[in-house]
Amino acid sequence: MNLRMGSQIFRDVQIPLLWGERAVVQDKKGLLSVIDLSGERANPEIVGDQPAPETTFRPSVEGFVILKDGKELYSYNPTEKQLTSISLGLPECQITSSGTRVGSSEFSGNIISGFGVGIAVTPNGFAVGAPLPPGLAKLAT
Amino acid sequence: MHIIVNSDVIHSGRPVATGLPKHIEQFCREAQSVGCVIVIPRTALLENDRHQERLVEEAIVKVENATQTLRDWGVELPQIQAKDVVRKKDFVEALSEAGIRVEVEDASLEDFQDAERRASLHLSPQPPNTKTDEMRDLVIWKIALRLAKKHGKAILVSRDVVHSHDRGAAEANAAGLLRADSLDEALDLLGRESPSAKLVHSILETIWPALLKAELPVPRQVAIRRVLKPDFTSTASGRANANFGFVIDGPEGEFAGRANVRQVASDCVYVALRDVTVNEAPWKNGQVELKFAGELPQVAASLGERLSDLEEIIGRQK
Repeated sequence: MNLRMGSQIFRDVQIPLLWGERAVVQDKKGLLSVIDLSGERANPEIVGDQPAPETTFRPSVEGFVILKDGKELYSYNPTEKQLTSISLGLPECQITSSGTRVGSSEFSGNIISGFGVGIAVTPNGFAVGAPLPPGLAKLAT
Repeated sequence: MHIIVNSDVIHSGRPVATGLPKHIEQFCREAQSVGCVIVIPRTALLENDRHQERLVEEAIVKVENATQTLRDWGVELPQIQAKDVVRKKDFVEALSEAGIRVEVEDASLEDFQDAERRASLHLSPQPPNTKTDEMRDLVIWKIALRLAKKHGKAILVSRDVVHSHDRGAAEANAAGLLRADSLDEALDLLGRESPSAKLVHSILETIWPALLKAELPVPRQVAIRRVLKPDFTSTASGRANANFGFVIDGPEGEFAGRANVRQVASDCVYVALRDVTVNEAPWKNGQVELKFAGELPQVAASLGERLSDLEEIIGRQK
């Protein structure tokens, strides 16, 4: 996939931003989609800044919270383009036109080319230009 | 009502001089409209100030880098001092500008001593089997209890498990301390409708005529006293399905249960009520099922419109 997102240019990457086990992509209108790759099949949770059908959510003052089996996983603020972990143990992630913020680190104006994952975020930190972790569902369905 | 806030609900991702996050501003306006005061424990304020200082330092570096980049490309610029451009702003002042009264509460010696005792002896409210006992969290807990006792009631808004665990429930109840783990839940406690409660109310307006027609013990007008643990899904066309507990003051008394409301066809709504009680006694067999013509509220755009843009990006991988 070739994509410009959060002021980064991703060329020939399979997943531009992997937040834990969730792929985050941004369309040309600037709307974010989040796809859970932890299962056998890719499961969209957020499509175009809104909850995907059959994804359990709860509206909040900030936007909405995604739930699974009654447990709050993370919240999404469509205005700020910010993903905040509630129970995933991941650093906060924000995509803006000037950069991509992961926790307190900001990436801006990079070209990331030829990797499985452009920016990989884990509970322990992040990596720029990483291989695709094993066991993830395929992003394209 | 005094609302004590922990740092984890007031942290912002950008310097506060650029503006308060919208959800905090909105919360302040809602709370102010019912006469609330926001209390920030000094402990939480110090932590937030440190967080803000770091954000300001990062912003200064960004401005310096941006200025240098422009100069590298031959753009002429006046002398810019990044430290003068990136303004600092006092967080309490920013909250006050949202129209709400804000107080900063210092911990007393007794607060510190009691927090020390609880931390050392691993006492409530710290959940059992936790590895560390955070003094900071315990100081905030003591401050919240003290203020609740002083004013008769108070709300502590905190995502920290130390403040929300069941272990602290008895002590909180005895002090009149209500606990919320989000600004939304705090709004519910204040009787102000959170976004979830507003959506439930909108759904109830759609199904209420059917409930009346089925002769359920509900008032003539839509009125719900409590909404419990609501969650929602959307259909492909963007209609809201909902699952929630309810407590309604009906003509026969307190009418309660759990509701599942679904858009099962484009013009057909299904309602299932479970564990239905009136004044805590089972009502009929405790279950109700209804189907009627109607449309639930729209909570999202149709999936087709949103999906085409996403497929355009990821579909290229095929």
